[in-house]
Amino acid sequence: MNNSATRKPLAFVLAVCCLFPVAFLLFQSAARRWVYPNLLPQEFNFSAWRTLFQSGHLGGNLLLSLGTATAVGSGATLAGFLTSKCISYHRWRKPLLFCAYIPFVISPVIFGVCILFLFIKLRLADGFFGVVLAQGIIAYGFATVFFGRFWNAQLRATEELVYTLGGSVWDALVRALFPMARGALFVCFCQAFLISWFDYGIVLIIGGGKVETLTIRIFTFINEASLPLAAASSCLLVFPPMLLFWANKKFVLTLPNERL
Amino acid sequence: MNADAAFLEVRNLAKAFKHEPVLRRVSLALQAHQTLSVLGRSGCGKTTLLKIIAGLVEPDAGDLYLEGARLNEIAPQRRNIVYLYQEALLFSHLNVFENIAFGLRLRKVPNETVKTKVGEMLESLELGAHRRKRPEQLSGGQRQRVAFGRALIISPALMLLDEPFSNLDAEIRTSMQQLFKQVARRFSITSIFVTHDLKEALIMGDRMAQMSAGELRSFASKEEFVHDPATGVATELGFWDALKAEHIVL
Amino acid sequence: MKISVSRFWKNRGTTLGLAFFLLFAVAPIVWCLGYALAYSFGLAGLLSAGWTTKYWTQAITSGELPRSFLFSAWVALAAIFLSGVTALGLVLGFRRSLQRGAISSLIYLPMALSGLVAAFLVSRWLSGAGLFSRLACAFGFVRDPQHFPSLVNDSLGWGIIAAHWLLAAPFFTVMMLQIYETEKIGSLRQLATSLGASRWQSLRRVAVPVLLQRSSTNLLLYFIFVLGSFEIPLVVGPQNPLVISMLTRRKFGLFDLAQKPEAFVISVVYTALVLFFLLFIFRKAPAHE
Repeated sequence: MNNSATRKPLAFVLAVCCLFPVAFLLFQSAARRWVYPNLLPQEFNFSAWRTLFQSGHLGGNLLLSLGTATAVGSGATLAGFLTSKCISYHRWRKPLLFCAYIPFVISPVIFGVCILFLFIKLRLADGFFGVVLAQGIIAYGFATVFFGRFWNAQLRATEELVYTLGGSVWDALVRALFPMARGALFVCFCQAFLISWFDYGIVLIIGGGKVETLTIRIFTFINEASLPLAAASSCLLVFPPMLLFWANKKFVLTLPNERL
Repeated sequence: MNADAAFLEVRNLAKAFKHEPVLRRVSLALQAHQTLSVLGRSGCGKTTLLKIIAGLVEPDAGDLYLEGARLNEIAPQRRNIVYLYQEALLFSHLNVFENIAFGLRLRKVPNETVKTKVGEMLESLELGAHRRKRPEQLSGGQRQRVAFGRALIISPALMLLDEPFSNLDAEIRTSMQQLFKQVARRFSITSIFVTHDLKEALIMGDRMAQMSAGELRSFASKEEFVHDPATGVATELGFWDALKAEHIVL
Repeated sequence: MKISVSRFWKNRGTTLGLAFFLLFAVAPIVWCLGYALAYSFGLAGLLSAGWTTKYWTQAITSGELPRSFLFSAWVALAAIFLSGVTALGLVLGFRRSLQRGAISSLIYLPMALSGLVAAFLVSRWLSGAGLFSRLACAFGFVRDPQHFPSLVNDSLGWGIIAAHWLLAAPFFTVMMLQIYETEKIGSLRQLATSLGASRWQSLRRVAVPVLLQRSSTNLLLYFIFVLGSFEIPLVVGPQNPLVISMLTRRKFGLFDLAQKPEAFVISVVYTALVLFFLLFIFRKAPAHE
């Protein structure tokens, strides 16, 4: 099946399949009066995009999503990097790593339902900080698991080398470990960012309708059957990660199963 | 053992991991500007001994003295003892120049001085042409030379070398041994050189010691080391003599 | 012997790191499980009146909870199975095509879709008035939306499965492509051939077992993700039966406060299930060096 006669058409079909979802979103965002059973809409215009940008709400939704995801991504990455170092070199590495997996794999909605009471008591519910913290707990679990496979004997030796060269713990971190982990830190940040950027369940429950991120807005559009608006705002949700993945493929594979 | 005369003195060092003794009452003394070769198989406790001297592992018992001053409570950062690993462990985010300059940057040495000192070091290690290269662009031998330069530039009181040439092929290994001998003489280095290679131990060391099952035995001279059956030199010589005789017969 | 400065700093750093970890990763989960258990046994919440097992009995005997778990498990199994088979087929059949040219980058694009967007797309493709229905109408297979077998909001959850497939199949494909390279499966198959294996035998006895074995942990982790998914079933899932997270959310959000403890019964059972799967994954993993 790998001969060139079949390879080219097949590659073309696969390429179309990969592009189809995003092409359809763009198409749907511009489609007007698309009645059944027509294969094509009777009208195309970009009024949905105009409405999105002129309504004023979207800017707020976008900024809120961006702010939340940036805070979650950077906080979780930094915390995960540092604590995973403690865990990876600890004699209880495996049980501790097991604990890190739980917030990462548990359903955000069930987590939100169970933690809501605590957040209400801490006055964190229905607000930006509550959402950041709740998403941060999940992303922190992910980041800890992610960096669990990063630390190894060679990095430990490098750190020790810095000490024998006269460097402090801070020097080792800032001058050696952080720069050497630059790539991994960026990948982890992107993934933690996306955990928040794509999240709907936590925002719904902890945000309590008062934190309107882009995903909340998209769901509202879907619920109202405002299809072009839902499609256009979906494009805004998926374009940034698409560009990221296109630019650097290695961002994608992050389900960590090495060195459990 | 006279503590006043020894540059480095180790007394009754003991260490166990999970109740498994790795070092048993290890003692040694080393004079300034000398290299002590420690011969031993893997797992005999050589690395643990070096890491304890460097301050990276805490001993269960025993005392360490450098130039008469007790070392035990001093952090590795302030011991001025550099520990070199089997691997060069170059910083992948820095080029050759900055890797060598690393220790000077930590000490906030003025930039002009850094340039001069690193330039000199690069020349003495024949690395001048590679100053802007990244670690991944270097060969194994070049990487190890950069690692030496990075250690030497901070003028350490003591260098601990943990089988630094074991990952190199035979030819480069020989040239690195020669280079280290030259550099050690030029910079008046005091060092402990750990290896499992008999020939390398003899080439590198001014003084000889052998480590086995956590116990260290020091030899008064190279002759004593060569003639002791436990070191394996006699067996090795016997092998070559037999081969030579066989060749003559053939 | 005194503790050296380095040891002190090392210990303090580790202690601080672990304390932070316990506070922000372990404590919230312990709270969640403890609170859910307490609520489900009548020890917490607005209507708490002391220890009772009635909410557990209620949740189990009503049939809603077992039905929801079975439905979620079916959806997760079907989604993982179909995605896994798709990925396996693509990697084994068309590996070279996937590694060359634009397709090697394009394959990453569907992975940038969020659950919500995937669900939206599936609803636009597979519903009665969706794209596929229109195509079927154009080819004369159906006359109107009612004649098209709607795969959205259906009781077997095909819409949910399709949306998860859309997200998981490319992911598994890329993952298996990587495994194929890192495990040197090509060389292993050549070796098998030199030992007398046919092309089919080298696939069945070497490539497939190695790929499945090396991806099994990720498949299981993905299964746990799908088991607890929310956005996709919310858009394309049926109202009866409901998936676990939707049932929890509904029981929790109902005006009838008497049903609230059942949300926590479900949460406890779900968390126990997740812990069980995780334990299985960790037992399977090689022991720590």
